[in-house]
Amino acid sequence: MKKVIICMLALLIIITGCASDKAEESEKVQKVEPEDLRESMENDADAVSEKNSDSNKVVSVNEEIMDRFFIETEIDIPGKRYKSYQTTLKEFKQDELIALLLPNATTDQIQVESFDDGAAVSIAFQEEDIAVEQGTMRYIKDKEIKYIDRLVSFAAYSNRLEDKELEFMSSEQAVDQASSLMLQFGLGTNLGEPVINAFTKEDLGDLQEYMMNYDEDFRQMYEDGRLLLRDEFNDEDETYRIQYIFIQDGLPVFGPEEPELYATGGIEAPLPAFPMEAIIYISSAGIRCIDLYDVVSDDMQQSEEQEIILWDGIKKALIKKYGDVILTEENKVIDIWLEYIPIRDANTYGSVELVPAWCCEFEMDDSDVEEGMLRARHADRFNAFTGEEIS
Amino acid sequence: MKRTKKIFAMCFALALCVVSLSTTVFAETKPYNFVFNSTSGTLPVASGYKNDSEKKYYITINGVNISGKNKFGTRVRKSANDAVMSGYVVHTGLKQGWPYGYTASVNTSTKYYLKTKKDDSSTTSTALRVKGRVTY
Repeated sequence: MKKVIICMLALLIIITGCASDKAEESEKVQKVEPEDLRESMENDADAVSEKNSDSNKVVSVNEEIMDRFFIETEIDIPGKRYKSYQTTLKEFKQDELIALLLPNATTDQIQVESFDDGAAVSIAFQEEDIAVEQGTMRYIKDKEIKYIDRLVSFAAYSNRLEDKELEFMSSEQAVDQASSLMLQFGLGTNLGEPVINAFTKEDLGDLQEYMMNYDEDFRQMYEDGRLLLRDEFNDEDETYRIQYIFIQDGLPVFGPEEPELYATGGIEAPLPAFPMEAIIYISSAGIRCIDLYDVVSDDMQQSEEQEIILWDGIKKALIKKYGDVILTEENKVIDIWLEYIPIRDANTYGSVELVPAWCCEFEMDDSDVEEGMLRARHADRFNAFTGEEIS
Repeated sequence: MKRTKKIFAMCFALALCVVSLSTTVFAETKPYNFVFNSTSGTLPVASGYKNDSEKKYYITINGVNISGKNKFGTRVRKSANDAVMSGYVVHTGLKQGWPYGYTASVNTSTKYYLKTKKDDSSTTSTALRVKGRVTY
C-alpha cells in the first residue's frame, strides 16, 4: 500500500512539474505587451499583430501588400542591433593541415600537387588526400568513403537519413570528436547545432540496392562502367555523418538547407555568395571524411552595431522590387527570417563581408514532388541595414 | 613460346582491367529543382568535386515544363573564382545523363558548380520549372 502511495505521489510531482514547465513556455510565447499591440492595431488592425518574448518580438502578418502579393507568416524581430564583419575566405595552411590530419606522415611521404597556379592544392599521403582551395577543404581518408559519401548524399536528397546509434561509438562521442576537430581549424563563425545521422552496413547495402532499382542516373553510370557496386559493406563502413551550419551573433549563416541565392547579374556574373557548411564522417577508423564549404577566417573586422530594418522596411523592400511588375499569378511569402550572408567581393578575390539579411521565402507549388525529395524553393534576400536586395 | 606469349598477353589484359576497375571513382552528382519567373536571374546548383579524370560532365533534366519555347541554359563554373569551365548550353527538352565536355582543364581538388537560367531565347513568359541533376 505504501509503495502505491509513493508511486502516486511521484507521478503527481512529475505531472505537476511538466504542467508548470508548459505553462512557463506558453507564457513566454504568448505574452503580449498591451502597448505593442495597441501600436500595432493602430497601424493595421487586421493584418499585423505583435507578441513579445524576452527582447524579441514576434510579428504576425497576414496582408496583401500589393495586388496579388500576400504575406502570411510570423516574423521574429530581434530586439537588438547587429554588426557586419569584414573577413576573407579561410586560407588553410598546408603545414597546419598536415599536422592535424596526417600526423603519421613524414615529409618525404607526402605528395603535394598544385592546380590553377596554386589556387587548388592536393596533399596526398598513401590513400589519404586533402584538397584545398581558399575557403574550402576536403579530407578523404580512403577511396571507399567517396562511394559511401555518394550513397549517403543520395539518402540526404531522398529524405532517407536516419538518426541512430552505432556500435563502435555513441553519437554523442562522435559529435564531441567532430566538434573538437572543427574548433582547431580557426574559423570565423561559430558552429551551429549539429545534425547527426548514422548508417549501418545494412543501411548502406539497402541504399545501393535502392539506387540501382530507382535511380536512373546511378544505374546508367553502372551500365556505362563509370562506377562499381560494392559486393558487401563491412563493420568498418558503418559511419556517422555530422553536418554543421554556422552561427554568427545568434543568427544562422546562409547554409545548404536554405533556398538558393537568386542572382540577377546574368550568366557571366559571379555569384554573390555560397552557402557555408561542414560535414564530417566518423567511422570506427576515426575521422574518415571532412568537407568544409566556403568557411571564413577568424580574422574578422567588425563594424559598429547598427539598427536593422523591421517589418515596415521589409515591406518597403518587397514593394520596391515587385511594385512595377504585373503579377499574373498570386504570390505569397510564407516565411521571413534574419540570417547572415557571406557576400563575396567581386573585385577582391577571397574578400567576404558577413551582412545580416532578411530572407523572404515564397510559397511554391510542389504538388509534383515526391514526399521528402528535393523541392523547388524561392526566396528574396534584403540587406537588413539598407533594405537593398542581395542578388 | 607461343603459349607463354599468350599467357603473358592475357595476364597483361587482366591487369589492365583490374587497374581500370579499381580506379573507377565517379564524380559527385548534385540535384536541382528550380523555378525561373523570368530570363533575368540565375541560380546555382550545389558545388561538387570531380573525383575522376573524365573530361565530361553529365546533365539530367527530368521535368517539368522545359520545351522549345521555354529553354534552360547551363554552364559549369569554378566555385572559388567563377572561372568558366564549359560552354553555355541551351536545353529544350528532357535528357538522361547527357554528356558535355569541359572547355578548361579540370582536376579533383577544385570545386565546381552549375550556373543556370531561363535562356534569353525563350519565347514564352510562363515560368520555367526545371529539375534534374548534374554530375561533375
